[in-house]
Amino acid sequence: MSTSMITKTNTSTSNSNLSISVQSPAAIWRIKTWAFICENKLFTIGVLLLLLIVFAAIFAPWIAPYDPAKIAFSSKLMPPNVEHWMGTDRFGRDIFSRVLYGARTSLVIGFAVTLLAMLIGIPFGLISGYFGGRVDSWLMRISDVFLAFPPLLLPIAITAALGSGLTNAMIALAVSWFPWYARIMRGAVVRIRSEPFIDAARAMGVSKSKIMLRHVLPNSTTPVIVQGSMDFGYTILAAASLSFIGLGAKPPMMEWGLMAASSRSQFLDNPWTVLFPGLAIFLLVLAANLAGDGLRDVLDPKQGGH
Amino acid sequence: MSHLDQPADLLVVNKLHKTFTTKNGVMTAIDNLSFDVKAGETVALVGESGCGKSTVATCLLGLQSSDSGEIVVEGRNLLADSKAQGKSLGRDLGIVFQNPYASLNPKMKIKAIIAEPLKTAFRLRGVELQQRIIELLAHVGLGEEHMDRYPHEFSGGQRQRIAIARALAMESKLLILDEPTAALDVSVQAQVLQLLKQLQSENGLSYLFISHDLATVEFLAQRVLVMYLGRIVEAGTVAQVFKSPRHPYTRTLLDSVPSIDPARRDELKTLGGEIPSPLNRPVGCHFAPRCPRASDRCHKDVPQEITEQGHRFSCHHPINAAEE
Repeated sequence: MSTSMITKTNTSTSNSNLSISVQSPAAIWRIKTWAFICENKLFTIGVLLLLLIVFAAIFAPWIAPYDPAKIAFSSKLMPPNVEHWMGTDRFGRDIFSRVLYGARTSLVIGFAVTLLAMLIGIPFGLISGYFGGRVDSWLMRISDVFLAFPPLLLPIAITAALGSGLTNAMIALAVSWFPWYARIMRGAVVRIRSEPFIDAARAMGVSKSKIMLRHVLPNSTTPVIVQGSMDFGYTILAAASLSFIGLGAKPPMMEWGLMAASSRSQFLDNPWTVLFPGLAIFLLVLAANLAGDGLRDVLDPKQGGH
Repeated sequence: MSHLDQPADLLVVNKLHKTFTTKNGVMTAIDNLSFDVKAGETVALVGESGCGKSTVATCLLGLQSSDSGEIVVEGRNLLADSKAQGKSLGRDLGIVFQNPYASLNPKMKIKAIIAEPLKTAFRLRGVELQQRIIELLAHVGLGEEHMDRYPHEFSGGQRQRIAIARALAMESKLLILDEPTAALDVSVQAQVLQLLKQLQSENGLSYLFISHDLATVEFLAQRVLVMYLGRIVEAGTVAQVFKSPRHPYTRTLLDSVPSIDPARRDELKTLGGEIPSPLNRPVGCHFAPRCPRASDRCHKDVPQEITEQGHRFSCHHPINAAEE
C-alpha cells in the first residue's frame, strides 16, 4: 500500500528519478498517515465515530434544535419528521436534542468508570505480579471474590446497598470491574519481571519501588489500556442497563439507558422513542470497540512500538 | 614483599554452592565451585548450555542467593555484607547480558538507561550527570546525538555498546560478560570483542567472560575454566587448556568446533549423548557416561583435582601431552 503511494507522489511532485530522497518531511508524514489509515480501516472508522460523538456531546447546545427539557404536550409522540428528526417522546420533548445531550452523560460514565477501575486495578496487579508468593496469592484471592459474581449482579448489589444514583452506580461499576484489570496487569508484570533489563536494574542496586515504577509499569500497561478502551463501550452499556432498571441515572437527567427505559411502555406504538436512544448506545459501543481493537494492533509491542 | 609483583585477587569465589528445589527433587546447579579472577585479566567460563555458567553469574550479582560459599571482591565478603545490610551484591560487579534486545528497557531513552546506575550508585545530578553520560557513550564509540533515542532505534551491536556503557557506569573493576556476543552477527561480534579488549587495556578492567564460543574465548581470555554439570573439570591458561587439554571433556569441546579449513572438514567430532540432568547426577565423575576413556573407577569415585604447573584438572585418566 505504502509503496504505491510513494511512486504516485514521485510522479506528481517532481520530474527527477531521485525524488524519494528530496521529499519533504510533511509529504512523508502524509504518505505514512494515509498508509496507516488504509491498513487500519476499522480503527479509523471507530476513532472518527468516537470523535463525532464527542463533538456532538461538546457542542450539543449549539447543534440541538430544541431545548431537550422543554415539555410540549401539543406535539407529543410525533414520529420522525422534518422538524423532529427522531420524533418526540410522550412529553413532546425532541428526542434528537435529548440524544445529543445524553452523549455527555454516557461519555463521562465511560471515561470515569474505566479510569477508576484502572486506577485501582493497575497498582493491584503491579504489586501482585512483582512480589509474587503470598502477596500475590492474597491479592488474587481478593480479586477472585469480585470475579465470582455474575457480571451485572455485583454492580446491582453494590448500587442497591449504596443507594441508587448515577455516582453510586459508577462507583459500583468501577469496583466490580477492577479485578479484570488487576488480572491482566498481573499477567503482563509476571512476563516483564523476568526480562534481563529488570535483572540489570536489580544488579545495579536500583530500589524495588523504582524498578516497579520505571521499568515494570511502563512496559506492562499496554494490555490494560487496550482492554480499557474496549471495556469503555461495555461500561456505558452497563451504566445504561443500571439506569434502565432504575438504579443509575434519575429523571430529569438525560441518559440513553434511562430514555429507553422511560419510554418502554410506548415501544410497540411509538418505536422511535426507544429506537434512537438504543441506536445511540449501539453506535458508541461499536465505536469504542473498533477503536479498542485497533489500539491493540497499534500498541502491540511486537510490531515495533513506534 | 614478593606478592606485590603478583596481581592481586580481585574476585575470589570459594566453595560456592547452589541448589534449586523443584517438584522433581533437589537440583544442584553449582557444586562447590572455587575460582579467582586477578586484577586486569580475563577469565573465561566455558561449558555446554545447562552446565551452570549463567547461574554463576546470577549468584555473583546477587540476583539469586547461593546456599553456601564465599564471594570475595577486593577483600570484602559480599555474601556476609549483603546479609548484614540487606543490599544487592551487584554494586561491586558490572554485568553485560547476552541479549542486547532484552537487556535494555525499551521504554527508556539511552540517556535514562545510562543515568540510572549513575544516579543510584553516585547520586549524580544535572550537568555532572550529563557530562558523565556523554563520556561513557564516547568510551563505547557512541555520540551525544544518540542520547535522546530509544533502544529500538539501534542495531544489535550498538545496543550491546550501550549495555557495556551502562556496565562501565558502575565503575566496578570487574565486569561479568554473560555471552555478550552470542546474539550478534559475526562481523559485529568482532567489533564488540575489540571494544571490550580496548576498554580493558584503557581502564585496567577484569572480565569474567561466560561463553560457549571457544574462538571468542581464545581471543579475549588469559585463563579458562571448563565447567561441566556444576563443577570445574579443567582450569588453566588459554595455552594450556586449548593446546594440551587434559580432561576428555575439554578435548571433545575443542573437537566439536567446526573448522573453516576444508582439509579438516571431516575431523569434526560430536559428543555423544546429552548432558545428564542436574536432578539426577551420575555418581563418580559426572562426565563418565559420555566419556570415551571411562573405566569402572570413573563411575564410582569422584576424581580428585590434579594440579600441574597451575593447570588444574579432575580426571582419573587424563590425556597426556604425548598422546596429542
